[in-house]
Amino acid sequence: MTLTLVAKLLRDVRWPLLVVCLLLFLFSTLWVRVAWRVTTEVAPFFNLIARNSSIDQAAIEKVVFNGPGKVSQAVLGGADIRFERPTDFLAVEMLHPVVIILITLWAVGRAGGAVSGEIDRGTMELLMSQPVPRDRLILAHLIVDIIVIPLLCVSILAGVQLGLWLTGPFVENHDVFNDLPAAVQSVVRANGPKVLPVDTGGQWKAAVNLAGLAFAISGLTLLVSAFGRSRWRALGWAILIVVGMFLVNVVGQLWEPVGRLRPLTLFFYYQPQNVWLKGEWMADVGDALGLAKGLVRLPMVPLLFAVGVAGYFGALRVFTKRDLPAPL
Amino acid sequence: MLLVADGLTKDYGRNRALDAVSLGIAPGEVVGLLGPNGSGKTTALRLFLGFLRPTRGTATLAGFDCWTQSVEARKRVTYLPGELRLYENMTGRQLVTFLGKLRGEVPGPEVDALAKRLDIDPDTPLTRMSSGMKRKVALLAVLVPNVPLVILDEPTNTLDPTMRDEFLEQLRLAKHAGKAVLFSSHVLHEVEAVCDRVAILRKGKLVHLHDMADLKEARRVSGTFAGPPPAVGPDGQPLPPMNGTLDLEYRGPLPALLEWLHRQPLSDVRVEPMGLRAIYRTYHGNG
Repeated sequence: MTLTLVAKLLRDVRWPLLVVCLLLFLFSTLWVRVAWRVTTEVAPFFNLIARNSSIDQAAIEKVVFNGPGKVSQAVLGGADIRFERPTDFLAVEMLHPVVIILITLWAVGRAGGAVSGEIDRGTMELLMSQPVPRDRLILAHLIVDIIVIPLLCVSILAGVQLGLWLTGPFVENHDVFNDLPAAVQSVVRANGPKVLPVDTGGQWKAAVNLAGLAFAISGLTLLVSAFGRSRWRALGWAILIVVGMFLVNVVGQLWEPVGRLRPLTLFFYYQPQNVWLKGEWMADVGDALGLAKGLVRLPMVPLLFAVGVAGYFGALRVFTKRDLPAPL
Repeated sequence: MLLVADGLTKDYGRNRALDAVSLGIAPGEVVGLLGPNGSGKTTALRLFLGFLRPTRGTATLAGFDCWTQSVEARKRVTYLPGELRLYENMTGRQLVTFLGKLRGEVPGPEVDALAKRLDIDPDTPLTRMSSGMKRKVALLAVLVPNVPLVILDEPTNTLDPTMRDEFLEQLRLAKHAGKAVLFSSHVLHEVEAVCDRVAILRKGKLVHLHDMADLKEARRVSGTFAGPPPAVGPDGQPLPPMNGTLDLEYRGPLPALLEWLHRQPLSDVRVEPMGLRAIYRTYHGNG
């Protein structure tokens, strides 16, 4: 019975799933090309300018990431990211709005209709007039998440690998220096183009963090859906909650009073660059709360999965005890 | 009794949708639930299916509580909702198979046989079907499983007259197969045609429960007296005062009625089967 429900749910989402996987895959492939361009052409060019004009590189970054630029930096991973390093730049993709929006839309869109959508469409009557225990429906949705979320993450990993294969090694492109004065060119060319190291071996860790985020959003949305009878109302509430958390997390990085609220958001526990580049799986809650650094550290991935599981349990409790109203 | 409702009550906030309804349905019995919109028909059906938790009272199906043992109860019932919504991304056959699998059964050749009788192609996608065709597919899904009780909420909505007749025939066949049927309807003659009993709901209360066999034996006698009205009726019971007009219900042998009428000073007379309409009017005006 559960497998029949799972097969039906997977059948329902197969086309949207294919589209989202394809979008993530293609974006990841494209992002490798962007990373290649920035790290092998743009960054060396700016580095050269900085060196020859005796300007400190940090000073350039300060100007670039001031004002609205600081928001971009906050959204894309904070001050720890070195944009001239290919691996760092590739890691930025995991926080790119395209990836966040696609994953969030997927998680909210699928779970938002799980209960309230079925009631809204009137198909819940059809389903629940069969001898299907209500908890089996929630279980089926959990299994679908367990199948689908890894697929989304694997699409990103596969897209990056295809991009790397298509792009080839990250070698500084000195052709961009052709228009510079000969004296400057000779200094640069004396050392020859450098091969920049690319290490995607740890990307799976970021993907696991992303899976945790998607599962947490899905679980919370399912809980909202279990209360409702209108798909759109449930979606509205879920989007409000998720967008609210996203904004608190971003604004909190820029404005200290809001920063204390960051640990209350799911996005605080989504730090794919720290996980991938530093192997850091713990979120420093103490630092965010203005306490001592490292005083309170929570494991990000288990916490996100725990939130997802709590959402599912909440949804189970609500759905098994509530009345099933007639469709609107 | 297969289905037993005992003091079944459902409140939505301050609004009482169903008020202490007690009703029993025996195996193989066809019961019609009558009442206007908002009388509590659908609420009663939804309580029997375990969609709603009763505020008070209980409903049991084959001994299983419809709320606390809902799964066991639903193993023994199929349901056709009043407002029909199907999974539009399936064909009729896929839908019947999907629902069958949820019951742990894989429907066999009976699907094609019934589909042929209902004049539908089960392999047509539901998106390409009219509302009437979809209703037939839903009927297919309801009638194929071998369960002791079939619950139908206004089942003939959107069916054409030919298909209504076919549907009523299917109900008779279900009854002959030993299935009990509980269905709500606004169409009195459908209820008269197939039901063994009829239950009339009014503002959430069960106001009348009538045996159709009894109803078929009953006659409404009306007429105009040309002289003084009699003191006793054809059954020997005293009659209420009449102002020159005759209006009575009679249950009994026809010769006795005719003999009594022969002795009355009537200028005209009309004898007709009682029918549901008269009973329904008693509770709901012109039904």
